[in-house]
Amino acid sequence: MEELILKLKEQLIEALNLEEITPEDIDTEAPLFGEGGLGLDSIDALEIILILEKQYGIRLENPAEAKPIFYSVRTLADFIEQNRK
Amino acid sequence: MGSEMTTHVYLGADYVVSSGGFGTEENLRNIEAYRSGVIRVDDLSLYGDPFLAGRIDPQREGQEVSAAGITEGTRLEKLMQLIIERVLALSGVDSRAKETGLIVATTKGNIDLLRGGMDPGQEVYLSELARRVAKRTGFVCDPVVVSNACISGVSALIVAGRLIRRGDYRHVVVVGGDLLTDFVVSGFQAFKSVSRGLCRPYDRDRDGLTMGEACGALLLTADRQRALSPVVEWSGGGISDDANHISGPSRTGEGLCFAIRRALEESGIVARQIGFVNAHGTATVYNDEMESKAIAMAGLSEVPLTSLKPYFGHTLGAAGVIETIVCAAQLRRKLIYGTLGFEHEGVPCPVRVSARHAKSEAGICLKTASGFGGCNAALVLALEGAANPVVEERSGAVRMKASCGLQPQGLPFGEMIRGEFRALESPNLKFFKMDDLCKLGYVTAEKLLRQVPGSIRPAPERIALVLANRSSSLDTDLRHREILDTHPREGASPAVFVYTLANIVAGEICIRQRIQGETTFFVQDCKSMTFLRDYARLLLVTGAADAVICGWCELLGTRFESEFEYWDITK
Repeated sequence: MEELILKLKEQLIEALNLEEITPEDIDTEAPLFGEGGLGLDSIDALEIILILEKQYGIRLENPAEAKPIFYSVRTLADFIEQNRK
Repeated sequence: MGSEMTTHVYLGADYVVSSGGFGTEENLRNIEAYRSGVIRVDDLSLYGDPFLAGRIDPQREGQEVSAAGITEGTRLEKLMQLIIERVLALSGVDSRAKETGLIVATTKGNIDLLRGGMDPGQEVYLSELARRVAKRTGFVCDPVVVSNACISGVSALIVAGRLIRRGDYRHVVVVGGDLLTDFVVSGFQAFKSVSRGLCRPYDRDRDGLTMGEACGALLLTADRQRALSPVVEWSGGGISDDANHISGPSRTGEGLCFAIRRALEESGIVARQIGFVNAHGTATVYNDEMESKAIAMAGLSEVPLTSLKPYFGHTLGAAGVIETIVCAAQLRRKLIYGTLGFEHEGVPCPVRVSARHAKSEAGICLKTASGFGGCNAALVLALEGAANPVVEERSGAVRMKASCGLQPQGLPFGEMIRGEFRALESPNLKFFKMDDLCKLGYVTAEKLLRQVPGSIRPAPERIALVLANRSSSLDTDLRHREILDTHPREGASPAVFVYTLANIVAGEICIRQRIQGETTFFVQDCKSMTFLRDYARLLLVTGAADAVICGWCELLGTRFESEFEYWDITK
């Protein structure tokens, strides 16, 4: 799990152009979106959907279900763990 | 600059080519018969899976173009030439006269011809597209290019009307055109904004937009003899920016409401005089929500609201032109065209939408558009005498308060801009997500505005941002193209695609600086600060803005140059 979390943080930094941020800077439990945390937005959410598709072979059929899954790196990692092929 | 302000600007001949047919009349007949031009497109060169779109009939297109004797140019150039020639022939306006101008509205121009590599061909420059089309149709004046995302068409019409009022031209042909290309289709698919069925604006079951392609040309003229009958006037326009997000619509509708208010003010009318509103109505969940809020805020909830997207699809830079043509036709025919497919209202503020066409005594209508970069535009059209356009010049002195620019000084762009950004000592994680063109504009604007004390800056909606460059968003277009070419199965990156519009840099600056007035993006063959200053002056003296940031913001590969100026007007 810890390995997946680190990998995921690296993939987020790469895909979302989070320059000047290292995996250690990202709090695994903190909210990814909105004020506080990383302050990601809707375009970032689409990029995370692509990470799930390309890197883990997981297709989110209904973007509306993304909200709780995309809450934090932890919730995202849990979801990948449960659904990866 | 012209010496005399002209009060009246009339709508002359027009011509539409879309999935609804060739010529305005054929398009109107199809709308009146509730026939949509949208079909199932199964074409691997556009997208891996079949999708619904409004596509111009290729066979008809070939016949019409060759029957007109047009042999030279790209697909879009030929279509533009065809419709400009039709408008010139219908109106009898002479393109070779100095008093006749041409304004081209397009988001992506000849982007279907873009190939990977760092040396794009001349044809993908929007100014080159305009130059070729202008030359082939006999214009002696240099064409003006407006590329302002999905408001491009309405923006161009607003610019055209203003230039006629100022006396720069007696006639202006405004041509808007964009094609269905894998470049754009892949991007909208990656944005997950494409509807499964035909788009359903304002309906509770809407799930996205339907793409389309079209070209439209419309003559605006100061000469009443050239107006189509019954006579419709261009009364006034307004443009604004949400200063909220580069792709997501405002959650309040405030930005669009600013544009509507300005358009009404310039037209000398109040909300209850409007007979119908033809909005952007893309049928994405958030666009239509935003529009319902803006319409409520502008006091237009009781006015019939329509969207033409179910007939043509979303035709990008052409949308504003062809939909304005259809709006004028509705005023002339005393009809309001229904929003095809609408059943159950599904927006947060009440709106009056109907699927059926209705008879109407409307003398005035409002056309709006909203687009990426947070931009909004509103244009008022009125049957002759129904509106009371306000044409006054303010007498204050127009003056430049500050200027700022960035140029190469030995350092590579990445290093230079990072250094400049750090020196601002104003951290912002979003900065690193921007493409290089936006970074250049962002830093230049920040440095410029640090010279202008907040105390002398007008309210956010009274500040305009007018930018221009040569390469539009080509730097990022090439990146997007490369992603599509190297990963055809995985598709586009939303974070890259969103920057494939020239005006996104204006959107980023507006968010950072809280600017909510007009944003207009011109594409020029070479830098002309004179043109930009003249346009800034026009906005200031006509009261469209109380301060204008105008400038050049160009970047392609390793070459870049920015030059911004801050102008205002004394009370």
